[in-house]
Amino acid sequence: MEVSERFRRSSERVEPEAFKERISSKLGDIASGAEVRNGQVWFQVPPERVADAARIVKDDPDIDCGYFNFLSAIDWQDDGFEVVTLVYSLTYAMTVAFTARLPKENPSLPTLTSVYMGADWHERECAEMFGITFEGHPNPQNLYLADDFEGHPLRKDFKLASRTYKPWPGAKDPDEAGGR
Amino acid sequence: MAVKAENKIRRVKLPGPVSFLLNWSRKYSLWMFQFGLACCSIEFIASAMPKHDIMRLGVIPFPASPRQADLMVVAGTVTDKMAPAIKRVYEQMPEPKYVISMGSCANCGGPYWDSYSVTKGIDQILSVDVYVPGCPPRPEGLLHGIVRLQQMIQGEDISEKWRGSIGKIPQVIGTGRAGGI
Repeated sequence: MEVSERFRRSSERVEPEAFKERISSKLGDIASGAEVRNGQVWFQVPPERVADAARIVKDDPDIDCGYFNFLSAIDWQDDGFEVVTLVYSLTYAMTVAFTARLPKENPSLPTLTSVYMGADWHERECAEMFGITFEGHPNPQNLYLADDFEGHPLRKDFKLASRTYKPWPGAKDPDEAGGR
Repeated sequence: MAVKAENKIRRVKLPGPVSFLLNWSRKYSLWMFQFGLACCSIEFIASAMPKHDIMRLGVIPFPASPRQADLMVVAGTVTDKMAPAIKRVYEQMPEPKYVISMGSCANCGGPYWDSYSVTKGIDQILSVDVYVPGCPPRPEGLLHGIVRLQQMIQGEDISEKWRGSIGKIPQVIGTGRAGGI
């Protein structure tokens, strides 16, 4: 897209609902369950098609999410993992998030680094913290953890050694705190 | 013969006035290497600035290299990944060398007591002379720690120290109250 065209489009005001409709029509069967949450457009994609979704979201001039915000995962324990990718459109001032649901055993996802270079470190962090494999990643090494670190510390079932002899003294959940 | 001479050296004790003078001059020219890792580092910097002015205690902050330093202040959260670097810097310092562990994180892990990545106390990897409690300690806390270290140096028998027979007795200051001494 030309800079002048991008500038012209950036002066248009786009409502989140309209943007959601636009994404749904552009992505077709890739996107499912699109909805607006807090002014952001969220939708789900099948794990094997995240790179296709990212390519459309980034390159389509009507969506134009050129800014990679972050990528991380949620551990839903028995229900597997959910990898969340947040991207932002500087042209339309709109945040788009897409999630991919992965199984609990051997979760893996195609890499987004061919679309968004910035996803590199986010995927490395996500890989070491949650044990999710990003297929085709150019440099699949630990980012923060030591090379010989065992386990994936952000998984819910990761055992913290210190807590085996001294339990967490507070409440784990705000509901358990008894309205303090 | 050689063995005999060695024994003789081993038995020699420095004369009191020499020891006093040596220790007195050592304790007032501590070159202090900073290993600032977290918020404690900010308090450390404050103690080196004009208001608290650590140099009036004869401590010279920010040497160019650990090879010039007599004292290392580990100020902040040490992670397992950073620990080898600290050990390496410590090993580069010439003897006699001293270490002050500043703040709860460096002392015992502090608020990260159950973390997967934080080293629970730098005394696991090197020998610490003075522990300064607090989260973070105020600059006065660090100054107190340095005065304690100087008292310790004044009481040392340097010939004993060089023979390596002296066990280091760690000094703990304060009551453990956050930020106070």
